[in-house]
Amino acid sequence: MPSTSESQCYFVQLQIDSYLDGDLALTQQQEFMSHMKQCEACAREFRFAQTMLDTVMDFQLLDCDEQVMEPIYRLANGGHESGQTTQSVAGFSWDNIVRPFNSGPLFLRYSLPVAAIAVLATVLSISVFTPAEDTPVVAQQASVAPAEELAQLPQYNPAEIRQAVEDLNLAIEYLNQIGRRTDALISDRYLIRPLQDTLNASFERAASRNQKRTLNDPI
Amino acid sequence: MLAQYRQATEQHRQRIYSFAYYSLRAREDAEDVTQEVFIKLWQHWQKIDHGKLAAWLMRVAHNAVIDHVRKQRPAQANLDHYADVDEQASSTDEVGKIDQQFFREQLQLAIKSLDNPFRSIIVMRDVQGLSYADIQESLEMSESQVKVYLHRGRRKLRGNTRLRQFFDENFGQKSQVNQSNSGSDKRSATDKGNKHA
Repeated sequence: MPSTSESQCYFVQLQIDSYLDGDLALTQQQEFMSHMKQCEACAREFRFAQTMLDTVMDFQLLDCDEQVMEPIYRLANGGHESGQTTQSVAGFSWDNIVRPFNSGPLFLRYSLPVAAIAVLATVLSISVFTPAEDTPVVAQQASVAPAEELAQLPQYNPAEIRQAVEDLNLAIEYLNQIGRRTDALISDRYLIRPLQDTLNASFERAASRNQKRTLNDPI
Repeated sequence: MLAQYRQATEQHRQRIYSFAYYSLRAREDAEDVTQEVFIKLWQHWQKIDHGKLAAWLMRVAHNAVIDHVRKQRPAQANLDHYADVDEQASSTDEVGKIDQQFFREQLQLAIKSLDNPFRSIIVMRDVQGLSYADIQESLEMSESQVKVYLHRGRRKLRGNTRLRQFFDENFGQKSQVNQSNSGSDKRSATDKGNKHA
């Protein structure tokens, strides 16, 4: 066997994986192969690495049974653990409704719900309290029986009622949110800050008192 | 959304299951990991960057495998009974095939016994044929780190005495030095290193 130093073998064996991955430059590849032809120990190491890599690369990709996936699909169909507790399957969510209001300018945030409430109230008041034109109110009250009175009230279909209730809930929820924010602002301004100011003032007083005491200390 | 989810599971489940199987070498554990991964996919469906879904899934699978290995450590002695019977050599009369089959099984066990990230990187790169870009995305490493771990992992495998002894006894004298870089040749034949592509 031709003489090759141990350090050269060590260096060449470090390059085996780079050679197998095709990461060596052409001249390096030539040096590598010429060493392999000279050194039986390195050649054996290379054959071992090559066989091992070939075997690993021939491992088949496997697939699991359909049964493994079935519980997952059931879960997904039920949507119980989908991490979307606030969202329905159709993609409806409270955040989606509130986001445009929160992201808009301040006047828009307040004016839109107030306007919605105003419009709703106007529509309801007009439709409920406007009497029929041909009969006076007093005569109508006197002559119509309670059941008939109910029958004469303007009729709304379920979709209109549902829409009105949803709008109302939306407005109420939004006003609640505003109320909560206002509470937080007020408590911060009128409770926490004065308390902090008082504490700071007392600390300053105590500090200045200690300072004066040391200044007047004759020792 | 459900249809997209199903499509994603169909597309990636082979990759996830194979990764889990070759990392744990136990069918039941690999199935558990596959289920865990796809449940997490459903739970995080809204938050995931779907352009990097494959890398996200591999990262989750990698973490799930680590968790499984940690749980199993105390019962390590009992692990070998998981070795699948259906992978035993079917044609027992052909000695060469038995040798290859035995070598393959020993190699799988040796891969399983590697620590992470060596094991994950070898499975991702050499078994599954993922690109370095996919692996570095999955494991949040640089490409050079991935290469270093890959080469160290392979050297660790070559340091396995049982494998080496078996190779020396059965293959060592038979094969000649093949001048082709087998790894890169095979990868270029399988569409830039991804068996799934």
